[in-house]
Amino acid sequence: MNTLDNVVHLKGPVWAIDDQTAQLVKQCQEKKLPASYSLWQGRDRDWGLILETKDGQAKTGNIISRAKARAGESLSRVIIVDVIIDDFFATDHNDDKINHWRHDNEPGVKHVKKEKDVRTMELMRYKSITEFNELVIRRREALRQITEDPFAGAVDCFLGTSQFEYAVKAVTLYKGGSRKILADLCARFGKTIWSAVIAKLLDVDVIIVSAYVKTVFASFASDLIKYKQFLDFVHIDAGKDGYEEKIKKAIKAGKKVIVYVSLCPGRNRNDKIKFLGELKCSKFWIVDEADYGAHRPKQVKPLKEAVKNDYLLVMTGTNADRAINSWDETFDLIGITYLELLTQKQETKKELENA
Amino acid sequence: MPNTIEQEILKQFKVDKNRDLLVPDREFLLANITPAVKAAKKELEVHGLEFSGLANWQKAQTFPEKAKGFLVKVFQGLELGMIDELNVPYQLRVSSLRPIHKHLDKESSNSIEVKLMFMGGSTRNTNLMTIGEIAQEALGNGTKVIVMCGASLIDGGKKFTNHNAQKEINRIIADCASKNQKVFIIAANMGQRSFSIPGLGVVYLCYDRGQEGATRQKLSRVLTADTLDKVGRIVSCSFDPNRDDKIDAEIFATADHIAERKGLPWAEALKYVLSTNSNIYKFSDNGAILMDADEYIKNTIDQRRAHRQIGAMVNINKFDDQTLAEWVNADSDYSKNDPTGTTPAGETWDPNKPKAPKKPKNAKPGELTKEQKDARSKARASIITFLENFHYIKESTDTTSVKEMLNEIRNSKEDQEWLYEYYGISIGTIDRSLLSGGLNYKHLEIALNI
Repeated sequence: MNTLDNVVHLKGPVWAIDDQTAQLVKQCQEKKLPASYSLWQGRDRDWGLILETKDGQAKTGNIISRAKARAGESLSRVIIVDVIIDDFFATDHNDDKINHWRHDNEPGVKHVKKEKDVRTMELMRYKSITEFNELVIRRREALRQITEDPFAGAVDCFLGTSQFEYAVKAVTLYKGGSRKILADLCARFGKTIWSAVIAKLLDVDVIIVSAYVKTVFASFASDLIKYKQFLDFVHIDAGKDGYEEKIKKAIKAGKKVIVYVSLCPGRNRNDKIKFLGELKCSKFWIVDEADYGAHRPKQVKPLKEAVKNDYLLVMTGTNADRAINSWDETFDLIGITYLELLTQKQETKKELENA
Repeated sequence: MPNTIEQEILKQFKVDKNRDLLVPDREFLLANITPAVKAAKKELEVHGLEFSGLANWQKAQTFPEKAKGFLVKVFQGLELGMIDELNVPYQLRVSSLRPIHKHLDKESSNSIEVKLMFMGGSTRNTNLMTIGEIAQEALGNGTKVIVMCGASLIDGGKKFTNHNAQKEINRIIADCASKNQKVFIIAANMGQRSFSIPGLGVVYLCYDRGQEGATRQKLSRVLTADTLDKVGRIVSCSFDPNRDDKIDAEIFATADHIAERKGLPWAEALKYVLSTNSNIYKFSDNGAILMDADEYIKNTIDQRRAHRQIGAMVNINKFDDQTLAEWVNADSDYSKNDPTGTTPAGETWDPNKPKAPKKPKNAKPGELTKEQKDARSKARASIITFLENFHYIKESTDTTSVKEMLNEIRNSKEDQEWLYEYYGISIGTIDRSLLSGGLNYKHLEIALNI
């Protein structure tokens, strides 16, 4: 949610924030599925970030035409940042219920009514970038609370051929005794889902996702929370108070826990990592964007002390050598190039043509 | 026997082949920049002036004022179509260089041309600014030239930073679109990461060699942030396209992965990758020519780029200190081919002038010191030399497989002496390298059979 690297043009002024969201839009349009959407305008006229979304519902899956209508003539572009497919949205005004619930229950989010230029009930305003980045997670949480259905809004997770083949390779390595894997993954591979598939197959109690950015929780959890296959994960942000208790409680309840910890220096960072390392259960550590800040000894040292003999996946898009320089240990290597994705694309095209 | 891990994954997840089709296509275009040098030379001669050649990008980027004639011709050739060999729309037989969408909609066809030119990573900001001024002068007011670096002021106000570059460039593009003005961005390091410009259709790479990671980031800029059916174009501007190795690393790494995944012999995998992705074009005076797999492979072997890539696959970080030191001291003096079709070179500085002593640089935490880096490059060069000449061992031992070849040397003192004399390494060094896993039999097989 915090990057525009993968935005996808859908039609006219309407864009999707990434491939996954584009696929959800496509699914709604083709199968006429009831859905709720969240639109983001991007920047204001002075190129300041707009921390607002226009949230609505499309009873018959016609998200694009509704998004176009909402965009208005004054805007050149709207970006669909979230789509939730669920029968709940087949009933008129149920989107309002979500917005009301969020206004009443969520900190830092306001349902804006009766303001100049706001014609309907759709505008949600966020206090800061933190709340804004978490909107995908928060909207689903609202739906699940209102419907009292823990599976509400979740769809099946589909893998691309390369994601599947490399997941097989990684799991084979781990199950064959490997503990540390360096994954050099190109753009557009879909590493978040891929790493979560591996986590699922390793069947560990706790997954720890770390990166040298403060928004690690929002960027990773937003992807996973959409899919049925990852609904058994309890997402816990180690950047928030009380994370230790939440983790212990979830483990005690036999849940799979996924903890997000920022590697940016802070007073308690090393303590957090130490606490996670000392948890008496099976663990899988994922270091994301490992060549960006996370490769320096100051970050690697506490991680290395905590990881010990747990499963470790160091993911990077470039500078794979640099990513593991400070680890001073042997890693198994998994690499995929953009050219390989293109090769797969050609093979699949042929296969589909011949089918 | 069915793979149980595959089955385990398929119990929980489904594979959707349509997801494979979401990857934007890419064209890699090799442009020969020498006609710009010839054009600059010709123009100077008309005015009775002497031409001092600038036969590589580094020189042109270090002395842009001196290279002004050449740079003007480059910009005019690439952007104004004044040199056929550099005229990208002419080469590709297209009318414009807006991003290609297979299903153009109104917004895309109305968009303006946005291009990004990456100069070498070592180009100083002051020189980048000068290059920007030259570009603006050469391209005129129909194109807005933006120099994206720390020294460049945005609309006379604040400076560009990695943090604000994407936002500011998008704002400038929107402004230029309203005036129907093209946008030409010049950068060296800024904009390599997290820089997503939806309308970017072409990336020019104007440097020789360059770090593989940085090149990968730079050429990815044209792939991100666009439609599902986009084709990104990368134009590598080279003084000697036959030696242009910017995508060698990616091609060789892909062949390596495909060989493993499909169980193909390595050379076959390389050919498979190249023939499946026939998207490398070489510019000529009659338009772009698609390079076929055989031609590409022949070029990499003739230019000794192939063995450099195999050498790059060897993970020297796995070597112990002794093994690394032995490779450092081995013979790395391999003969280089004479460059073909190169530009006449001229002096750009006085070779007799003593160089200023370099200040010793302390490495940042987690990074190698200069000495360590130098040692690794020397070791790598020796490994490449060894791989290049590995076939002599096969010839002299009269064996067929790599394992047999090495065994024969292990069993003959005479062969071991020959090996040391010829390559400057012992069989022990090779064995320890193999044992570490940094060098493996696959590397030797590839070197032998490519």
